[in-house]
Amino acid sequence: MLDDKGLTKFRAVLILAVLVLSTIGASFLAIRSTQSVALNPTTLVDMAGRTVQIPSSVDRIVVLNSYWTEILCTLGAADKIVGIDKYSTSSHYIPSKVRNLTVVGDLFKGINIETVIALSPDVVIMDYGYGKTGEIISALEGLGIPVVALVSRNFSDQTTAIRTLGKVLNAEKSAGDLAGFMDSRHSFLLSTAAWIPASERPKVLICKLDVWQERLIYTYANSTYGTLAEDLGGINVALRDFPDQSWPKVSMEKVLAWNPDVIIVLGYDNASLASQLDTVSNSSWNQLKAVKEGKVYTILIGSKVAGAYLDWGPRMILGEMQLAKMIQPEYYANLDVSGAAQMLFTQFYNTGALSGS
Amino acid sequence: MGSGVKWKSALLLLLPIPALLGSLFIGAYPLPPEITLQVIMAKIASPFAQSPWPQVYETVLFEIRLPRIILALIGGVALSVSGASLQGVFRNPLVDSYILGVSAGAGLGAAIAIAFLPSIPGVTQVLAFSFGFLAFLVTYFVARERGETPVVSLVLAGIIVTALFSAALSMIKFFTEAERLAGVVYWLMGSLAIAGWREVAQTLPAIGVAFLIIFFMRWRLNVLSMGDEEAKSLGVNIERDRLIVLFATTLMASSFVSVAGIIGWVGLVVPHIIRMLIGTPDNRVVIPLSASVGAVFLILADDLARSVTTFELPVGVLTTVIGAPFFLYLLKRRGGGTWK
Repeated sequence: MLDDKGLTKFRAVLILAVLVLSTIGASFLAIRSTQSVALNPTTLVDMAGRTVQIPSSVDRIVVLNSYWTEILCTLGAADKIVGIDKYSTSSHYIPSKVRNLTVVGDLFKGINIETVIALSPDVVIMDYGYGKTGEIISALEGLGIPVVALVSRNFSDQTTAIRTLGKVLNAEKSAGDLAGFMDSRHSFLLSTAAWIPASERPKVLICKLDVWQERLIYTYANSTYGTLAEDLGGINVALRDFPDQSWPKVSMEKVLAWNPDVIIVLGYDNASLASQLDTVSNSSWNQLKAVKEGKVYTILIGSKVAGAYLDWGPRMILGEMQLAKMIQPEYYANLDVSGAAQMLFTQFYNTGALSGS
Repeated sequence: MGSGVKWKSALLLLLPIPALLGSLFIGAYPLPPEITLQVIMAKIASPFAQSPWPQVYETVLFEIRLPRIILALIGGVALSVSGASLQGVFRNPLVDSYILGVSAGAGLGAAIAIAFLPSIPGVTQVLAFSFGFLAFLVTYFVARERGETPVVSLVLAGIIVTALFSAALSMIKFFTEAERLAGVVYWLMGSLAIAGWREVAQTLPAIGVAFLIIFFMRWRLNVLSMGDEEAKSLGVNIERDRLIVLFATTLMASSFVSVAGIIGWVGLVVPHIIRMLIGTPDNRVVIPLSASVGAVFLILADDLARSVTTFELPVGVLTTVIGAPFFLYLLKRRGGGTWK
């Protein structure tokens, strides 16, 4: 143990250390703030309604959601990204040089703020409104790092986010082109569906069978994909029964009671889809109209494998087209999903090879 | 035993039959009760005959509702009999089926399967069962000292093993991606929605054998619950008997947990209700009645889980919501009851 004299000495050293460190810290911040003032910052309003000042030329970006990473890359900013979140590393649609950048954490489990500081970003792009986003945004703001907060709740959020990121990158032209590509097709889909009479709208069930255990069915009701089923000319049985729930879990008995005309099974990879289809081939499912008539479809979602379109970001429009053709094959007969995919990938992803299968 | 107790016992032993039949009428599919009755009668009269009703009626009643009710019955027996037996062995009314670490072990096994292994039917069950049993073995051998396993050591070892397995489970949860994490969390809540004939076939043999073991040892449970010194003085091999009881209860609890997840409070509440109703802690009565009332309790709780809302509620959450306040009521009213 330290004696009295030692303790006093120790205290003195400690106080000195704190003083030195805080001086360094303060001057560091002071330099930062004078720098950003000198650069004549751009002001923009992000999707959270916050007014953010960012440097007029953004060269170092840390991005904390894989879909925003994907959009940044389509807008030609792959070289400006210096840090990513964990989910960006497993996306098939993000160039490998970006996937191999420093991972700073993710928004559900938290990020390492020190790692972010070490990357000295000009701006951080991230979601707001759930998990640890609130704390992360205020921590970054406290350190003087500008945050552009975005959100994904539906299709129109995607194009809004694309245009906002266009402003951040001074790439408003290509952002406008990409958003336009998506918007025009989206409004075509919706206006077509608006013509479909109620009598021709099939009962649709969108579900996943591998989330709980085999016999409990995870359905999409008042969620993005769930409401899409209605917008594209179907009757979403789960949404009609559970208008207040996003993903109600129901038993087989409920599905038998619904007896849907069309069943759409979602999965993150082909193995998941195959095992789910295996479940559907058992006896209870065989009594459903959709199964008897061969109207059970699968859609790859997320970004893990080639051919997965239904996801946040620009590919969402392709996923909507896939859904539309499954729900209303006749009304959307002329819709060419692979042609549109080819166009999207060659024009905005700088390669046709990404489209995959 | 007075004749009042006999009547009560007979009544309680028959209770699962109306519970089972009545529950066939409950569910999300709109089947009119009179049709349900007709279908059931016809099935009882000639089980293999072609029915005049749409195939879907039979599917709903005999492929979805019936196996689920039977699984609830089996699970109710497993949880309450293991709870009652362990309360005897530990001479402590606050012990339940999970005191030896079975739930934490099974939870870890299931989490490993859901998080890291491909979704092949049965993998989760096998791992949950093995880890549940493993947790028990670790507890037992940690507690064992010079050929003896004192009750206090078992309790402490159980707490330590539960803590370790839970920590490992948290670690796995943290490293699991969101989609699969949801699967782990749902599993831990406990649900009978997975019930099919396959699950009944998986659990019935082990739970049946374990139940018979406990049933034929129920008077020895009385001896064990007297305490080690007294039991020894009666010439009972307490180490051997205790191990047999612990083994059988673990077999029951982990078999059921492996298919249904962790369903709490059944093993705690049911034996208490029995002791309160019958007025004796005599295991010769408490064990068979716990089996019957436990079955009814879980069948009714699952009826609620299936019918309160048209979507599924996890029955494990319901048994806790019903069980915990009821237990509090019992404690307040009885001031400790027959255990004091």
